[in-house]
This record gives sequence, structure tokens and C-alpha cells, in this order.
Amino acid sequence: MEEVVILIAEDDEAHAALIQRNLKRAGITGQQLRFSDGQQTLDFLQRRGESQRTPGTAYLLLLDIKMPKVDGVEVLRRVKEDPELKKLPVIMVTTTDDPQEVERCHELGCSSYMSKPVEYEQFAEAVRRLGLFLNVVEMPSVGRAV
Amino acid sequence: MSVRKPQEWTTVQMQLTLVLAATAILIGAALVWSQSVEIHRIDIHLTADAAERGGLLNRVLELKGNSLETFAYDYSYWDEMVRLVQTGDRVWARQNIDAALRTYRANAAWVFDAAGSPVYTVRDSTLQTGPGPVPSGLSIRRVFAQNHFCHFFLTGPDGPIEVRGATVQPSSDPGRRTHARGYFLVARSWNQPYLAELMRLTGTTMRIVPVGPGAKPSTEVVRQTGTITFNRPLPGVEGEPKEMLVASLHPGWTAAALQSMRRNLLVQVGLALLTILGLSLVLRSWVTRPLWLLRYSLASGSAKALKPLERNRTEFGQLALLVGQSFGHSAALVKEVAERKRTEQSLRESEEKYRLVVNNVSEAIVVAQDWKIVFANPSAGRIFGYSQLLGTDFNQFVHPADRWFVADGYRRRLAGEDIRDRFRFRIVRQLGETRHLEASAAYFEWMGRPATLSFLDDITERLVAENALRESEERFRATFEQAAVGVAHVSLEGRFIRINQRFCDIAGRTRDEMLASTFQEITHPDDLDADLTNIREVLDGSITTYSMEKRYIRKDGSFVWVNLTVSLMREPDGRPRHFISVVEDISSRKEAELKEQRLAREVERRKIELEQVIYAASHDLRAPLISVQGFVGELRLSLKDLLAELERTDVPPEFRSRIAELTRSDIPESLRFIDAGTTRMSELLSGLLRLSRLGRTEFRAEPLDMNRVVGQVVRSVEFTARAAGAEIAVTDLPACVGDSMQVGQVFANLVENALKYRSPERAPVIRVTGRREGNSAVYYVEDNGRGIASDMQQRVFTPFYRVDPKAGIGEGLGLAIVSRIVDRLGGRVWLESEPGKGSRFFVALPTG
Repeated sequence: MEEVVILIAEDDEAHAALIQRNLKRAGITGQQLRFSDGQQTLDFLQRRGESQRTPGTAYLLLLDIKMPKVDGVEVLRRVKEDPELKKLPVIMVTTTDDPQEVERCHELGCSSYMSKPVEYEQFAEAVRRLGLFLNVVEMPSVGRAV
Repeated sequence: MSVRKPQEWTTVQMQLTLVLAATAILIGAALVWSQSVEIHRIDIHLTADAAERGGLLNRVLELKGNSLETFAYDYSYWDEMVRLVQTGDRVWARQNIDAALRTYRANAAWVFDAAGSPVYTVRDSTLQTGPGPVPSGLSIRRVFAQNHFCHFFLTGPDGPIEVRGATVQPSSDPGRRTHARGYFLVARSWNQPYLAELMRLTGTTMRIVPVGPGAKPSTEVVRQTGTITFNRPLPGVEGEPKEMLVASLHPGWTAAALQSMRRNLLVQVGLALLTILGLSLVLRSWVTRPLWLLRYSLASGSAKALKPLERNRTEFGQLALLVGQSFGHSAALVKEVAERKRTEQSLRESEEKYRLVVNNVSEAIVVAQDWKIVFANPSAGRIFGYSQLLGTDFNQFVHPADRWFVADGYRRRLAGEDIRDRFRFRIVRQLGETRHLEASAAYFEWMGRPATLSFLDDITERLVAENALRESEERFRATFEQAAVGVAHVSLEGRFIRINQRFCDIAGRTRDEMLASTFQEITHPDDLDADLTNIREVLDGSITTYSMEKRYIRKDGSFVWVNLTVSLMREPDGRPRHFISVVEDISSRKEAELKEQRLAREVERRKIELEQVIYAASHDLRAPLISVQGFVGELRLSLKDLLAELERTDVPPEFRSRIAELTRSDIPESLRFIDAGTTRMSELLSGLLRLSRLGRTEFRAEPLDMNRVVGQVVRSVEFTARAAGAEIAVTDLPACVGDSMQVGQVFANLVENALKYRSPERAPVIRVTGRREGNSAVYYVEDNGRGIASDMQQRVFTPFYRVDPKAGIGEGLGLAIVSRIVDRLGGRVWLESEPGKGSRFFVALPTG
């Protein structure tokens, strides 16, 4: 069994705290990493900064749309363009419910979409659907050759 | 010279013609007579032949009938036959009667007893089919009532059937005097083979035709075709014939005889015609033609026609020679007279030509001698206005002011001085009218003495026209120069040929500078191509004129906007001559236009900015709000944990009750208020976002089935409507053009409002109807709700305005969104309402 590492890309301190609490309450207890802008997130995923992802580890990205430097939609686009990263499950977590924006994220290939405030039941449901909940089998592992 | 025409019947020619005609008639009569004799001969032969052939036919028929007759007679007069009638012995009958059929060429036989009942019947194959030859209704006894024998014909399917019969008698009664013991009948079919045999024997063509009663045997002879026809009626049972044998033949000799007769006739007629023709040719050549030539020659007075006759040795030839001699004498005389006539004629013609020229020339021709007019043509009288000019003093007509000058010229011209021979002067007509004349005068000798010859032309009208032209030109120049717009004539190459001051002022150059430049040099480079394109089109005739807005570069380098109109002046033959350009200074208008465009762009920019601000603000405002909402939830959870902790902990009772009050009542109440506040704020922000999004959404314009769009809206509020006990009625709605999602939003908001602001006193009734009005469809959503007071009706479409802030949820943006969408679709929304009764919202949308 592999441990899933949850990446939280969220610039708002309070929102990040709320997400973390709700994840905990949903019973998701694995390792969590937080990034406060899109650039940091991309650096980690594309292994450019100090902190870098470990090949062979399974990750799940919770991505806010409105972020400084590189916004969430752009992060999503680059992740889905990158042949190494495109299998990474991405859950969009945003303050907006603009139908156009929702549609755009789905077109780019996000796995799920949630409007804030997010309740822990929603997280539990989303993670369950992605097959990542606790001891779930068949985890997509990022970084393996496709 | 004419000769009296002789009477028709007295001319020799006519008499000869009559003789010829009489001869022709006599020959014709002889031919007719000989022809009739020939025909009579043929008729006699034909009749004799017919009698002979008729006899032969009768004989053949009789002989053929004899065998059948013998059969009937012999077999009936026989004891064995009597026995057959009495015993009906079929063996005997078959051996004797059946065998005899072939012998006698009969096809059937019958035996009847004395009472008429059939005893024995035999038929061979020829008569096997079809009904029996003796009809059942026929009474045998009646046939034999008068006679011992019978002979008649019956009508059969293959032709007539000849029947012969006799009474049956014993051999002891050869005279057939005793009563009949029975009856014996035999029959033969006259079918095609039998007829063929008859035809072969008689050499005729035979056919059987139906006939009426009373037909008699006859013989017809037709000479024209050489046909002999014999008609032989065939008697029926009752004696009257029903059918007839028609036999016809063509004796071979008739055709030959007829042909030979016709050939003879043809030869005789030909000979007769040749005789008459020859006779007439001889008479014409010997008598008629010489007579005609003599008559023609004497009538026309020419001996030429007699030339062929002079060689003739008959009396006509001598006559022709005599006539020819008499013509010779008179010809010389005639020639002399003709010569004299020709000379006179040419003289008269020459004189006539000059007279015509002088009389018809439009100029006056005047000859003056000794100060008097000695010759004047008709035009002179017309120009001077006097009919009698000859002998008058010419100077009396001259205008007093010009008299000295005219008289001086006359004197000096007579004196032989070389003075100007063309000059103008004025005359005064009889009624005091002054005319201008142009004169051309020359020295000249008239009847051997000095005189002047003058040609005078009235040029008054020409002078008037010249003056008018000059005035017109001056007027044009004034119009050109004083026009309020710039006018110029521009050569085909673009050079300014002629230009008014206004044009120069607009272009900011002097007239000389303008005349030295081309329009290409002073036109703004950006506008030149369009101008040149237009000019090409005018030159090739595809357009006649054009107008455009363009810029000229002034001398100081600044631009001036002008409205230029150019047309092309052509030569009378259609070749282009020059352009006429009219320019109008439109700088101020152009500036205003540009300013307006800038303003519109500015307004558009501000609007977009504002929408972006609203979007960003509402988005950013949401983030902290979410934190507040989220942490209220967290606080609630913490409170729960705290209460659980408290239960387990040992706490003094007075603290416990104080804490209980705080945790169970005060803190939850605060949290509830915070929740309500944030929820309300969140709704406001969603509304704001939706409103700002409208400005950014692309609207589609597609034909809409409004029954479908509104139908969907009604289904989406079904649950709410049922809960409120509401009735929603939708009539058939006209189609319109718009964005289905946005139009759906409009009607959803209106229907939701109608449900939301229903009257507490009655169940809501909502009606959606519509109709076409010109180019738009007008829909109305009608309710029986609370209604809106008239002073508030205008403000309901303002964002965040709510008629009753306490009534239900909502952010006060529904109607603002409706108004915004309808506006963007190019439509209009308005309402009628009465408080306490209900409201009616109107939405007008375009239909195309």
C-alpha cells in the first residue's frame, strides 16, 4: 500500500486551515503539503525548487483558482500538458461558481470541482470517487512512464 | 401619232383565228363520232359474251345440282326406304345412305316419317358442327304440302347449305300419286372448297352476299372496267332468297379492246392538234406578221421594223419598200426641227439655273448705279422690308448714323480706291425697325457703265445670340467665383485648369499656386488611392459621378477635411474633356464625429472596467466571507467539544449554570446571527457576480420556439408553484429571436417574482401570453399578486432595489437582470400594476 500525499495550493491562510481541518475530519490523515501560490506548486511538481516531489509517490492536488503569480487554471493547464503529470488527480476548490469557469476546468481535465466553503462530507465523497480513500487499491502513481 | 384601232371582228388576224377555230371544232366532232362507234362495237361484243358466260354458269350450276337432285329422287322412290321409315332399320340405313353421301357429294341426309318425325340422320364432318340444317320449328309436312320435291338453301356457318328433298314412295308408284310414306332430304354445303370448285369450272370470282326478299337473277355489264357480274339469288325454305351468289369475271379481250381504242383516240387528237398548230404558224408567218409589222412601222413612224419584210418577195415586201422610201424623206426634216429645239432648251435651262440661284440665295444681291438700285433679288426686298426697290436711292434705307460712312465707301469704290470690301452697317425698315447688315461690295460694270455689286446679309439674330452668350458666360463666371463651395475644373491629368477663390481658401493656397499644382500633390496620401480609383471608374463610364470625404494638405502642412463631389464633362462626341470638382469644408463636422467616436469608446471602456471591478470585488469579498462562514462552523464544532468536555469535568454548580447559559444560549445565538449575516452577504455577492457576468457573456441570436422556452421555465418552478397552490397558464406564444438561455432566465425571474410576491389573501394565478406586433413579439406575464405602487414602478428594475425588503429571500437583482438581458437582446421591458390587484410585466423581443 502506498501513502497518498495531499497537495494543497491555496493562498488564503484561513481557507487552507479550513480545508485541512475538513480533510482531517473526513478521515484523511496522510501527509499534507501546502503551497501559497501557483508558481510554488508548479516548482514542486516539476521538480525545480527546494522542495520537490518524489517519483513513485502518489499525490492528490487540491487547487484554488484565484492565486497570486500563476493562477489555478494555468496550473491545471500545465499539469495536464505535462506527460509526467497528466495522470495526477486534481480537485478544483474555489470561491466562484461561474458556470463558464467550471466548464473551462472540466475541459482542461480536472477530476472534480468544489465551491467553498467545503464541508468534510464533500471531501470524503470526492476522495472516495477518485479511489484514494484510506486503504483503497489501484492508486495512480505520478511520474511513471506512460 | 396614233392609228385607229380596227374593230375586233374585222381584222384579218381575227378572221384567220376564227377559221382555225372552226377547223378545230370540225376535227373534234369527227373524233367524237368515231369514238362512239367504237364504244358501241365493244358494247355489242360485251353483251354477247355476257349472255354466253351466263349460260355457261347456269349450266354448271344445274349440272352440280343434278347429282344432289338424283340422290334425293332416286333414294326416295324405293321400297327399302319405305321399309326404313316403318322399321327404323339403322343397319340398312348406315350401309346404304351413309355410303351414298360420298357418291353424290352430299354432306348430310335425313329421313322423316309421314308424321314429320325424324327417323334417321347422317352428317359428315363438313356439317358436323353447328345446328342441324333443318330447323326444329320447320314443318316437313308443310314443305311438301304442295309438291313432292323441294329445293332450298339454308344459312350455315361456312356458307349456304343447299337442300333437296322428295317424298318417300314405294317402287310401285313411279308417278308418286299415293300418299307420302315419309320424307327424304339431302344437303350439300356451299363452303369455300365447293365455291372454289365452282369458280374454277366457270372461270369467275364468286362470293355470297346477303339479300332481301324479292331479289331476282340478273346480269350486269360494266364497260369501263370490262366486268360482267351475274347475280343468282339462292331460294330459302319459304321460297324467298336470303343470300345470293355473285359471280364476276373480266373477259380478257375487253381490256385489250379498250386500250387500243384509247391509243387510237390519242393518236387522232395528236394529229389534229399538229395540223391546227402548223396551219396557224403558216398563217402567222405569211399574213399576220407582215400585216402587224406594217401597222407598227406606220404607227411608230420608224422604218426599222420593216427591214426583215423588205426581203419578202410577196406583195407585202413591195409594200414595205414603198413605205420605207416615204420615211426617208420625212426623217431629214424631223432632225432639223429637233436640233433647233435642243439649242433653245439648253439656253432656257442655263437662264433658269442663274435665276434660281439669285432668287433663292438668302443674302440680298443689289446692284447700285448712279446712287440708285438697278437690280435687287427677292431676298433684298425681304431684308430691306420694301417690295419695290428698283430705281430708289439706296442711301434712304441706311440708318442716319451710318449714311455718311456708306456713301463715302460707295464713292471711293467707284473711284477705284482699294478699300475694305466687307463692312457692317444698319438699316431702318419701313416700320422703323433697325436691322444689322453685313455687306460685301465690289466694283462692277453694269450695262457698260460703272456700278457696285453688293451682297448683304442680315446678322441681327447672330448679334443677339452673341450678346446672350457673352452674358451667360459672365453669369457663369459670377456663379463660379461667388459660390459658397469650392469649384474647380480639373484636367484629365489632374491639373487645376480653372478654380474659384473659395477652393483656394479651403486648400490654403493662392490661385496661382493652385493652378500650378495637381490634385494628386495636395491630396493626403492616405486618401489618394480611393480618389484615383473613383476617377478611373468615372473615366471608363461605370459611374457618372462620385462623392467622397478626403483630406487636402494645406500649404502650412495642416489637413483640411472636405466632402468632394466629382463629375466628368465630356465633348459632344463623348470624349472626356475635364472634371468638375466641388468641395465643401467639413472639418468641423469631422472633428465632432471623431470626438463622438472617442466618447463612445471611452464609455465602452468605462463599462468594461466597471464590470471588471464588480467581478473582482465580489470575488475578492467572497474569500474573507468564506473564512468567516467556515470558522463559524469550526466554532460550533469546538463548542460541541467544549460542552462534552464540561460534562466530564467536575465544575462547581454555580459555574456550571453560568457556562451552560453561555454555551447553550448566548454563543449559539451569536453564531446564528453571524451565519445569517454571512449568508445574506454571500447571496448579494452571487447576485453581483451574475449581473457583472451578463456584460461578459456572448449572446446568440437564434430563432426561438417560445412555447418550449417558457414550458421549461414553468416545469422548473413546478415544485414551488404546487407548494404555493398556484395555477400557471401559458397560451400559444409567438416565436422571436434571442439567446435561449438568457430569454429563459428572463421568464424564470418574472415567474419566480410572481410566485414570490403573491397575495396572502388568494391562491396565485399566473398567465403568460404573447402576440406579434410588427417586427417584435410582445409577451406578458400577469399575476394576481400584491402589485406595485405607481411611484415604485420605475425603480423595480434598479439593482438592489426591493419593494418589500422583508418579503422572502432575494438580493433585489432579479428584475435588474431581466432589464439588462432584454436590453442586450434589443428588446424592451415595462410593467402595469395596481397594488392589491396584481402586476403585468411586458417583454418585447425582436422577431428577426
